[in-house]
Formats: sequence, C-alpha cells, structure tokens
Amino acid sequence: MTDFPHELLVNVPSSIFLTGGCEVVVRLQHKDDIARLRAAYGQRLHHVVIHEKELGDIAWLSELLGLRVEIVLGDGDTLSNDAVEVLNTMQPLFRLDTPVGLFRNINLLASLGYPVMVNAFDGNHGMEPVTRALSYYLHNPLLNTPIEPFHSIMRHFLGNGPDTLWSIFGEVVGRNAYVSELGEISVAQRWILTGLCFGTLNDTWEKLVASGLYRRLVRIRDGNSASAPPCVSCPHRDTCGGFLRGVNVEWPCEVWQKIFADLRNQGRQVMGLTEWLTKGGCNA
Amino acid sequence: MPILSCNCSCRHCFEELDGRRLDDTQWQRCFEGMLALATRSGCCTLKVFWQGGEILCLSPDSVHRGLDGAEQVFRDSGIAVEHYLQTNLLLYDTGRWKDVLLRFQNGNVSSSVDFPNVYRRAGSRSGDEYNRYWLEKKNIAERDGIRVSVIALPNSETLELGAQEFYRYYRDELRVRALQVNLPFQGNAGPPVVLDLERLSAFMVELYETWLRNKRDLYLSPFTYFEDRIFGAKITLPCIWSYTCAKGLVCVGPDGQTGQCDCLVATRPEYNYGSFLEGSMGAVLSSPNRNAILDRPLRLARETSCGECRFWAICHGGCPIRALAFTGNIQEPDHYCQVYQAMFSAIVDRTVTPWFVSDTSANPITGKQNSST
Ligand code: SF4
Ligand code: SF4
Ligand code: SF4
Ligand code: SF4
Repeated sequence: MTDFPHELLVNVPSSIFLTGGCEVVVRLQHKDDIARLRAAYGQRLHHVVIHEKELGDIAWLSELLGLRVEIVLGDGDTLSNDAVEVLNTMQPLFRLDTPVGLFRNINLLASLGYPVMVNAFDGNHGMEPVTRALSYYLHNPLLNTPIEPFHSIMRHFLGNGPDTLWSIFGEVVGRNAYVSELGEISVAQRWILTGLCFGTLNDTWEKLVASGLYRRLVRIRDGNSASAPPCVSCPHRDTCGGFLRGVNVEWPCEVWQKIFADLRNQGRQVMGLTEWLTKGGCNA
Repeated sequence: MPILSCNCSCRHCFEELDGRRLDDTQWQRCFEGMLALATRSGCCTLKVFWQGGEILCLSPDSVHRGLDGAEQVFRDSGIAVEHYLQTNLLLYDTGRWKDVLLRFQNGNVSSSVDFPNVYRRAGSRSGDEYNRYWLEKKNIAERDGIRVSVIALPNSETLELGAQEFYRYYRDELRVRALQVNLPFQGNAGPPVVLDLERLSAFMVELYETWLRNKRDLYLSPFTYFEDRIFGAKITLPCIWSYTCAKGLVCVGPDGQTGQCDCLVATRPEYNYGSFLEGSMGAVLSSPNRNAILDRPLRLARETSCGECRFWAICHGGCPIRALAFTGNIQEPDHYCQVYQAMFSAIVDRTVTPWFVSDTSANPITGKQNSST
C-alpha cells in the first residue's frame, strides 16, 4: 500500500485504512463504527465527510461529537430540528453540491451560523444559482458566517487568504490527495471521475510522484505552466491559477471570471475604506 | 402566568380571564418544576416573566412568597434567576406594591398603553380616562424609584393619526423612555383587530424614520434590536423573530399547564404541552405541540416563500400565534410578513454602508438594482 508522507492530507473512504503518518479525511458510510475509526486514526483524523441522508440517524450523528464534520447536502430535506440540535454542538461545514434549492439552503444554513461551501465546479450549476449566492454573500448585512469559496477569494484579495482556488478547494498537489473506493489516487475526486489518476494504492509514493499528471500539476502549481491557453493572459490567474480549467481545458469559466471581478471590485472598496479609516477618516 | 383575573376588561384582550390563580401553597412546587425544566434544557439564566391576567390582582404577600420560593429553590442550583413583571399598573399604590415591584429587575417593570386608546378599559373609564389614570400611576411608581417601559399595540385610529403623533404622545405626554410596538391579533372579546397591512407598513416605516429624525431618543423596540443585529451585536431578538421561540420559552399557567406562551396557554389548550405539576418534564419537552413549533422554521424555509426571503436570518417566519390567529395554521408565515419586510427594508436601506453596494447585481436585501459606485 502507498505510504503517504506526513505532510499529505488524504481523503479516503472509511472502507480503506491508510497506514503511515499522513493526516486523513474520512468519507463515512452510515453506521460506520466511529469509536473504532477514532481509535484507528487518533490525531491523524483531520475531519469526516457524511451525506445528508445520514442526518436522519440522530443517534449515529451524535457519535460524531468532537470531530470536524463536513456534510454534503442534497436538497436539504433530511435536515430536522433534532439534527440541528446535534449539529449545534459541533462545528459542521456544509458542502452544497447541487443547484437544487441552493439559495434556500444557503439562506437557512447561514442563518443557523453554519459555514457553507458552494461546490460549484461540478458542471451542474448554471450561472443564476451561483451569482445569487455571491450576491447573498456580498450584500446580506445579516450574514455572520462565511460562504465559500467567496469568502476565501475575498480574503485573498484583501491579502490575508489562501493563494488560489487550488488551496481553497483543497487540491494542492503535494498537500492533498484523494483515494477512490477502488483505490485510485489523484489530487481530488473530480480528476478521478474523468480518469485522471496518479496511480493506485498498489503504487509507491515515489511512483505516484513520477506520474505524468502529478508532474503536470506541480508545473501548474509552481506557475511554470498554464492549465489551458486562455489562462496565460487571464486577469484572474492570481486567484484561479487555472483551477477551473484544470480537468477540462474547455470548461466555461466565464461565469467565474465575472464573480472574481465582482469580488475584486468589492475588495478594492473595502481596502479603500480601510485605508481611509486608518488615515483618520474625515478628520485626516 | 399565575393568575387569570384582571381589574381591566380590554376588548382586545386575548386571555381567558376565568379567575383561575395559582394556589398560594404551590409556589415552591411551581419553581421546582421550572428548575427541573431549566436543568434539563441546560439553561444558565432563567428569566421569569410574571404576567397574567394582572399580577397586582394577587396580594403583595403572595407575590413576595413567590419570589422567596424561587430564591429558595434556585439557591444552590447554579442557575441564575431574573424576574420580570408585566402589569397594567392601575392597581399600583406605594404602600402595598412599592417593595414588591422593586424586587423585579431593580424596579424595572413593563406595562401597556395604547394610543389612541380604543380597546383598553378599566371600570367605567373611557379610553382617554384610562390613559390619564395610567399616567398618574406611572408617576407615583416612578417617584417610588420604579422605571416603567411600555408596550403599545397600534390600532386603526393609530394609523389615522400617524407615526409622528404616536411618537410624540409616548415620548412627551407619557414621558416613556422605552417603548415596544407589538402587532395585534384577535382577542377573545369584541371584534377582531385586523389592520390594513399597507397602512400598517407605512406607519411602521414612518415610525422608524421619526425615530431617526429624533436621534433615537427613545429605546424603541423592535428597531433598536434590528439595528443592533445588523451591526453585529450579540443580542436576543424578540421572540417573534427568534429562530424558534419554542427553544427557549415556555409559559406556565395557573394550574401548572404549560404551552408556548401567554397567548396560547389559557385560550388554546389544544396547543398545550402538558402539566408540569402532574407530568414529567421530559413529556413537556417532547410534546408534539412543542415539536411542531420547533420544526416550524425548517418547514417554512423549505415549503414557503420564507426560504427565499432576504430577511429570513432576522425573521425566521415570524410568530406562530400570529400565523395561527389569522390563517388557522401555525405552520404558515406570520400574518404580518408584509409589514416586517417593509420595516426590514427601511432599516437596511438606512444602515447598510454604500461601500457594500455592487454595481452589477440586485442587492438581495433591499431588492433594488444597485447603482454604480
Ligand atoms: S478563470 Fe479561466 S482562464 Fe482564468 S485562470 Fe481560471 S481557468 Fe484560466
Ligand atoms: S389586556 Fe391585559 S390589562 Fe387588559 S384585560 Fe387583558 S390581561 Fe387585563
Ligand atoms: S407564539 Fe409568538 S408571541 Fe408566543 S412566544 Fe412564540 S413568537 Fe412569542
Ligand atoms: S419577512 Fe415574511 S417571508 Fe420573510 S421570513 Fe419573515 S414571514 Fe417569511
């Protein structure tokens, strides 16, 4: 089995136990033995991922207390008041993978104080739900919880956030890895879904690092190569870094270019305001 | 709610004033019940709102015994208890009540006065006479070191007079420092109080603007709360805009019956949670009626326009009883939705900084197309 180095954060299904020193994100199955998982991974367990349907099993959900939990939400129908009560004792992050009910879900989850990640790169999202989510993030003065990825992008513009979408979405080669149920390894799930892998769990880490995909991603990470031709002259390369066209060079990133522009514009205004305030406001 | 008797006979009263009162020997048991409930709910501070009926229809000794009973029961519990009083004040006199009222939040009590007074009545007094009499009592109480805040319910004549006159009346004639404007729902006697929502919306917005023009020289609920919330203060919103009032509030009637609030316990027993003098606390907390209110926000967010509402995070669908009273269904959005939207919009328009206005998309809070900055 691959011996992942310590600095790796590896996303792995609960059916596979990873030995070695790397940190792990475990994708749980309903009724997985949580006590056994905790004992097996100890401090190496970074967080767990569950799906919405599992929110219906309150007893099992309660066993996750003390762990960081990422919840992949569908249409939000399984969320009950009992689940909310349990989740309030944790620090859950909700990942919204579907445009169905996206705005309602953001509205509800943010009002409950839960951070939300709009995972809008699966090709299913049209422009409208995502831009509405951005508008909600930018203009809702009642919001007191981050809506990602907008929040991290804004922090990036303000000079204190992660570098690019690669790190915001946890796809930094050399830091993140993803293991499929079949043991295929890549940097994240979307690569495996299109057949782009470093190798499998039967390979040594050295062999994975020598793979064509790994080396290509390193070149992009280090700024020595672009994901796609339009990235070379793209004004948003500092934010995106070619992430959007990473898997598919034809991916229509124009919607997101508009989002970057809006966020950059807002960021500039915030910077201007901060500068104005630090100079002493109107008395300066 | 230890008493369902009152010295008044207001036409918009929603209580079932059938004379029931807590047996004076039951204070201890009553607070033991509250302690059990508070302990089960993991509560650190229990706020006890004394209301009726009219608390001053009890004897001063009885109220003292109640307050002493609470002190005794909670002494070593680790739970702090704060007592609040709602009274119409008309029975106040220094000799009988001063010491009692000073035990409530250092003499801060809440009362109710409407302007113009269409519905409130005490004996044969007209509406105006009622208000004048109330003011005399307030003056006496204030000389005794008691501070009186006021709850006002607008009526159709209030809307005729307009917000400026309303504001002037409370501030200058009644010399009130803290005013809470509540929106009415049907009472038990007399005609239902149904206000024109357009006019009520305009009134509430005008009231907000009047308050701003007067440099917020009153503590004016709900506007004070909303502004605090928008500016990020950790405040507790009034129950009607909390995520769900069932999480932190329960009302105890004179015979130990529990329910969501004073608006329901005596008048709509079919919505009660059970008796905590007879049953277990677990049964009260897991009552299906309570669960229905606990689940209400999720249902509203999923199934009604509330889920798409730009004010959801501050409104949560409003008050269940105000939904029930007008639609017959607790699982509907609050009847005053339109009024809330008008109020929230007005507040956001005047408080959100123009720096956060994008030039390309509609502002989801104000709903307006933003202008270029
Ligand atoms: S926004 Fe599109 S063109 Fe620009 S860097 Fe990202 S993927 Fe490349
Ligand atoms: S509204 Fe209050 S003061 Fe008036 S009758 Fe009812 S309980 Fe008494
Ligand atoms: S039903 Fe309405 S008035 Fe009663 S506690 Fe709930 S929100 Fe408050
Ligand atoms: S303002 Fe109206 S639509 Fe919005 S949350 Fe409140 S009741 Fe629902």
